[in-house]
Amino acid sequence: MPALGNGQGNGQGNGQGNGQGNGQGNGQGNGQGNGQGVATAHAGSAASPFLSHALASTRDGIVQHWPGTPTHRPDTSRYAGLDSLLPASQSALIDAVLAGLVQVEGGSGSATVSIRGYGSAAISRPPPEIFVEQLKWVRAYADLRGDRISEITSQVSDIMSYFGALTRLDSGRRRYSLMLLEAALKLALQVEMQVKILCHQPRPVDYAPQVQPVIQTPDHSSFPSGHAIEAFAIATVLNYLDPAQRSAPDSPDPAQLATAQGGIGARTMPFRLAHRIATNRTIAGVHFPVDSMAGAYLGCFVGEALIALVTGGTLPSAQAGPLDLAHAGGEDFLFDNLAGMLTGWSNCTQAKADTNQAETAILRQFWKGVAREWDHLTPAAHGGA
Amino acid sequence: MPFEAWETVKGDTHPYIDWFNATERRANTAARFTDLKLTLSDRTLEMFLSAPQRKRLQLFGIDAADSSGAARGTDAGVAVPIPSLMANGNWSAFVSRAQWDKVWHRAEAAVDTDFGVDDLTMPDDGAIIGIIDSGIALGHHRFRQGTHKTRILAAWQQSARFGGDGGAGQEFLPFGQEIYQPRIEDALTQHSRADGSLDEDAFNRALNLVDPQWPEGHRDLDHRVAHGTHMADLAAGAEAGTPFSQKTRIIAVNLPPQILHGTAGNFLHYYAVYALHRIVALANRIAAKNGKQDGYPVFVNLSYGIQAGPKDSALPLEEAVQKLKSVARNTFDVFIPAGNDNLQRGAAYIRSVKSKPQDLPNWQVQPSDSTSNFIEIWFRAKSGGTLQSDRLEIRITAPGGAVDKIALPPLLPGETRYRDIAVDEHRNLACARIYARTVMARSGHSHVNVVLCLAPTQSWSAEVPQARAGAWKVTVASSTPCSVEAYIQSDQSRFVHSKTGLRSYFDDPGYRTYDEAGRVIDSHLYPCPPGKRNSSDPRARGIVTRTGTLNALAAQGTMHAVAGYRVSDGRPAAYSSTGWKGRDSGIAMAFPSEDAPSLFGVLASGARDGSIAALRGTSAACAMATRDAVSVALGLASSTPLKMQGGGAARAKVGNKGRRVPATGPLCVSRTGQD
Repeated sequence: MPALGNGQGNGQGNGQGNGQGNGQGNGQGNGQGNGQGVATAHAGSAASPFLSHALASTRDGIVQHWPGTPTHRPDTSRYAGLDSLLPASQSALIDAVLAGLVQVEGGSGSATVSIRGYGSAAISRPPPEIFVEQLKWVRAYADLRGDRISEITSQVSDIMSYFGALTRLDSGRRRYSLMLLEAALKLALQVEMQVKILCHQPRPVDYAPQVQPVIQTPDHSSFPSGHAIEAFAIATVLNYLDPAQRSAPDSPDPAQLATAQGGIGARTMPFRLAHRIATNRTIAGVHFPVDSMAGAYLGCFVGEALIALVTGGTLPSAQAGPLDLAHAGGEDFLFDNLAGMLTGWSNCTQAKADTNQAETAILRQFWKGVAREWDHLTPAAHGGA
Repeated sequence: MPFEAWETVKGDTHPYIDWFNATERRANTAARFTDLKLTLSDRTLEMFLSAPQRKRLQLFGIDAADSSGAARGTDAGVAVPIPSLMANGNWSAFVSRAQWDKVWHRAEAAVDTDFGVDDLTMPDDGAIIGIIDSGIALGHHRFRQGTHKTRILAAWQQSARFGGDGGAGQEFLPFGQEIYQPRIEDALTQHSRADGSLDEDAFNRALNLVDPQWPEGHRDLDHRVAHGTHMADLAAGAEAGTPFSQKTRIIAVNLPPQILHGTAGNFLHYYAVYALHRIVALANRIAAKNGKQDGYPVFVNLSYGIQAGPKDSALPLEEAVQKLKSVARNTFDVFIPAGNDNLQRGAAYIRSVKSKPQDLPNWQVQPSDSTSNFIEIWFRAKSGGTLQSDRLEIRITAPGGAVDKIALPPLLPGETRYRDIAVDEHRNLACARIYARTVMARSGHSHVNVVLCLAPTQSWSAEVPQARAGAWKVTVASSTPCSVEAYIQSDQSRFVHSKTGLRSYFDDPGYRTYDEAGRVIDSHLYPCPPGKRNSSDPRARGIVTRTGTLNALAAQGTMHAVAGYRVSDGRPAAYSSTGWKGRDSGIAMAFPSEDAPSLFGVLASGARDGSIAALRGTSAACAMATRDAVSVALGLASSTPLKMQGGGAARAKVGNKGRRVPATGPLCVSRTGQD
């Protein structure tokens, strides 16, 4: 999974460049960006003790006598909004709000992810025999390694570039949309680390020395697949945001295709991509197909939940109980199986009683910024998923 | 270990199969292979009779095989190991040739209704294109005539599990599964989405086109590039609604994956012969069903080449095609690639061998090679007479070992004898063996053929012997003057993308690879000096030859051998094999196999619909030739000769019909839907 440091740096962060707005820096940087924990740049150059010293000596020279009385009363409501922040701070704030809304509970191989106590999805690690059977799929998929090496190695730390190829995603006219997708990615990361430690499943390399994965086996649980959670979370949000991704405009129920269930049923492009990213991990030799199935399930939940939280819509919930993978033994991670997994979902309404107004306001502002970037989404008319 | 005695091979078993049984088969448990009686003889359509059909034949006075499976008649077939999962365990032997000939046409009509061809649609003035290859994507839109309508009449998936859908299996097949048009169309409908795109993962698995759960099962279509799809696209692909699409139908035979071909392509010979028979059988039966007496013209693209062989007389596959031409109702043309072995250093020639021993160039066998290596040595009497085997002597020296002097035994016609010549001391198993047999040539005389088999130079199994890597020396002598050709046989890895099957080569210090300008030396000068047509390159002369590397299936010209050339400047591809003048029938013509020095190969479909891949080789040229022949037969636009200033290329490289420019420009694959 992408490390937190890299995510921030390559996204909006690293364009320290020279001065404001000076080209793309590393990736998307626009000269103002900052990674986490790095000092904010000054108006003309990066922060440094040298510049700070120079500013101090300049002040000595030009301020003259000043007892500490203000010359101006600022309006205290000026800095309440999300758009008063730099992109990196916006990102950090949104991530913090979202992380506070998500709760993961469980143990001994099971995990339930819930959104503020309402709406949840649960998975449970299947019995050990299932993984023994699944190893045959790892063997079968290893045949494809030669074809996929470049995808596998780049996707170790970067899956966003692949989604960025499906539509325009940059820090210009799609700045907030990109931020939303990155929020999906980081929310998925929050969820996956907590879920994995509860499920603690060994990796393919632990079962046979013939597996010999082509990338280093990560240290955390095989089940569920982090890449699958992240890829399907991003796919769910992108599929919702961009009508061009839903390839059947004359479908009888266009709104239906904007959901994860609808998008997967129609095999829209974001989900095909997510499926490939997840399968590449099995090809690499670091996952079983059943890991991707559980990951896709949770990823769709995370994506739907994120959409509901920022738009104020209804939250999905798996009323039928935890995802049943006990009979998955000989099964591969295929679209047909995936579509079947999501049919148990139903919607439940958000309880208004303990709505935290401050959190809601931030998320609504965020959504306004996103909606302004798409012709078909107008903030005023929009109220639900 | 006593090596002096020569053993005799039982039955008609070819040396390669005998060697497989003695070595590589030992690595597998017996349960995984079933020995089926298969034949390469000139049997025709009775190969594909089911039990009810054989019963029906009794009405015509033909006795089918009795219940014990023993054959009546002269040809009982050869036991060929076929993986049990794909084999029809009840496959029984044949009726005799003489009996079958008597009632051929009546029997054909009678057996027709058992076959289930009722729903196959064939235009009356159309042509059938047969594609025999590995990894043909049946769901590709270029093989369709509409969204859910296919141009594929039937597809024989040779390595699909026999009875794989839980049914009893199609008993008229020796192995695999055959799929017909209606089932393909059902699967197209079921797995297509609203926007018309096909879920190819689901389609391929539903029709057993891929079998990931079986290590020897087919996976070609899951890779980025599948050879069969690329060739089928070049030979038969067309946008729906175009005249080419409307007038042609496809019969596909998906050969088993490379791991089952045998390390010398020895099993592939059987798969290919059966594939050809099957296509003619189907074409005839469809014609019978449609009441079309004169049948449909059939054009087959066969991507199959063999390096070693007599080169002047037909191998069993070529004989089978000769017979099929007389059995097919209409024309039957088969196109094969010339081969890509021109520069492989796999052919050597000594013009005159007498009683003084002469060295063949060192046979350089690579280390870490997990497949067996083979040489075929052909002795021909100088005056064209029959050569007696006991006049010949061979000396073989293993790397670092002692000289082993071997006198060949007397051989009866049709007899194959063998002797072990080296032992793997660690495993106490023979790791090198020599087979000797006489082979009748086209001229009516006979040659002596020696096959030298070496075990892999890397064996991880206690059961499979391991031979030494390095330079093996072979010396030949004869008390009757004769000429000697030596060919290193085809050698492929177990898996298409694996590099573990390494090719051996002849190492001769006199062989020149590059000219003074750094260019690869070909067999012929290019451009040709003015006024000369057959100007071989003097720098290419020597014991290790480029000449004579032509596909051994092109010996008598029954099939059309197609060479490759480069589009940008017309230069014949350096790797495109060269024929023997006067020894084999030579190359028929040349089509593009490269675009430009910096643009590798030619473009056609990858394994998935909508993808494009560049593949090089005379196979691509061959597929274009197949397409061209179909176009000519149907009166559609066809190729034109390539006229270049400054002389043409030598005929031995590009054939009598020379280089052809395909109808739709340098690439015959049009992406604008105009072909």
